[in-house]
Amino acid sequence: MRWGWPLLISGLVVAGGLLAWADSEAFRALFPYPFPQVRPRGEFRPPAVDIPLAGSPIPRFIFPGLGPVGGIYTFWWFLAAGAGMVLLVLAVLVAMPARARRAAERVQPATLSLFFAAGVATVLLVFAVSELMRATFILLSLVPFLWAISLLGVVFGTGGLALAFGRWLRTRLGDVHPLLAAFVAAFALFDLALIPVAGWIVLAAVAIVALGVAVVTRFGSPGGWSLEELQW
Amino acid sequence: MEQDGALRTLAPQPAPVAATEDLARTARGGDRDAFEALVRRYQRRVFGLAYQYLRDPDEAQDLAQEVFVRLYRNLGQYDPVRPFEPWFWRLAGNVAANYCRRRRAPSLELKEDAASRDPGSDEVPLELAVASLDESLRLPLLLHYHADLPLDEVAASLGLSVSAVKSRLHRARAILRRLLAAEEPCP
Amino acid sequence: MPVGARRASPSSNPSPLAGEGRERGEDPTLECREVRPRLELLVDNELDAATAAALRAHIAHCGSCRSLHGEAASVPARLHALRSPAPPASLIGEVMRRVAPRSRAVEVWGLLVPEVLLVLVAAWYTSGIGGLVEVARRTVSDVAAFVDWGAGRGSLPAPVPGDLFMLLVTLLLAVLTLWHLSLLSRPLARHVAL
Repeated sequence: MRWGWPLLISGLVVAGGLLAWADSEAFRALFPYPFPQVRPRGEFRPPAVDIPLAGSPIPRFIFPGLGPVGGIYTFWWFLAAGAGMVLLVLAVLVAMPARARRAAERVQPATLSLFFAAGVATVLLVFAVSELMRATFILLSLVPFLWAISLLGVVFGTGGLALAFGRWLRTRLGDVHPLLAAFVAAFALFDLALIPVAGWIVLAAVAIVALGVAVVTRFGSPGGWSLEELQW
Repeated sequence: MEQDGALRTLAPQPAPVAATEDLARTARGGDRDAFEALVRRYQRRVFGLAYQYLRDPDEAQDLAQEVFVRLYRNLGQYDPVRPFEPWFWRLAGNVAANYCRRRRAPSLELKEDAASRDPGSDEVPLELAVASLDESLRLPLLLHYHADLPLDEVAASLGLSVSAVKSRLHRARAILRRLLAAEEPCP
Repeated sequence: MPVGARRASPSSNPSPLAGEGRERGEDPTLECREVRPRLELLVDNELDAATAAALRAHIAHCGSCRSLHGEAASVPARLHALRSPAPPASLIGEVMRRVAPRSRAVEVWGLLVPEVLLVLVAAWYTSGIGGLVEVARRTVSDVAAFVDWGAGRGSLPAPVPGDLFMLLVTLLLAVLTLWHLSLLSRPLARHVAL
């Protein structure tokens, strides 16, 4: 279908805009200030805000010096966060095309459950290892690196999943550049993530599967997890 | 006539023959149909190599199966941007070399086999001469000349240096030449 | 050369490696016993130009060496053309049977059960899911405090008092999840029915 791709992209753009606007209205209470307020570090003490279902206030240190945003800016915040996510995914594909492709080749409907289980196991592993490193106290300094690698894994895996989903879209809507197809897939994920609660659950599930993809394929390396390279 | 031509383009076209590298890449992703297509494509040549190496149809089938099972297991290590054939034949040679080591003294059995063979059979003297070679000479000879594997790939497959492979090839051909020219039955 | 090509059988000439037969070609610089060991190298183009030229000059005038050279040159082609019987029809079926994947459901989901059990044990020990979340929050704040200390903004966080039970639980969880991931990360093709 010649019009398949343009229709899909337009639909996603419109849906994204509408959902971002809806979110900025629904979460206005979380972002009480209409414009961003930047204060020198240490002077600004934002109140702890309650997010429903989270069980505890947001830790203060996430935005210590930036201050909250809100109002009309919230709308752009959602769009910017989504655009950032999409760009991160594309950056992975541009920076590591061969690895991303190898990872995407392993993504099939039959293997999604395997990657989900691997992602859950990895989350538990990261938690357990973080606690163990904390117990040694000295290794506490390495815990942020562990989390950073896990986050990189999520981003890489999302790139692989976007590429794989884009490959499926290409079989349905016609051949386009794989990067464009992956962009559309990432855009669709961003739109889904804007749906309150259900979208967050989907995003969490995708993140777990993405982490599983990164770990099982060892970031798309040719040999996977193999100790044969150690032989000489 | 023009309508026939136009209609013909609408008819389902026969699927183009997939490049081996594409099949291998798809098989790497878990596509068993692609792997089966690879097996079909190479079974004759693999069986031929195995037969010339072992000179027994049942053993050759066993070795051919081992080669393809090893291929399936090691597909993850194949880099699809590189040509498939050299990598595959290197793997096949490695499997053949290890296979013979598991079976005790096949060359002795083969030599007895060759000696007991009916001299009036229709087997070509070259085949008998090859069968009478020691396995350490026979396998590199078959890999290089029968399977067309380049010298460096034969060396990598058997874990030898290129000069060692060349030396074995020369010795093997000198023995063959002597056997063929002397018209002697294989020992 | 076709398969089973006729060998040159110079019946009037002695066996090629008879050793002592010294036929002399018209080229006075090389004798047959010097040429014959180098025939294979000549066929493989591994001789320097001068030696190769000398050999070719000898071969041009020496019938027996020429026939030997012809044989040596034909052996590679004849080896390539060796005929073998067709593979049995059952070969493909046998291979596909041996590589048929067995179900991985147990591997995929089976180990999640003890992992979740361990998390529940840890939750029970820390008095509920809230306790676990509190453990995670303390870890996060300790890490943040460590980063602050590294940046010169604060003091080191207090070392965590030892809790042997939690240590054992987290150690077990780490080992279990590592094993689980190693099973899931094995190359697809390793799971073949032998």
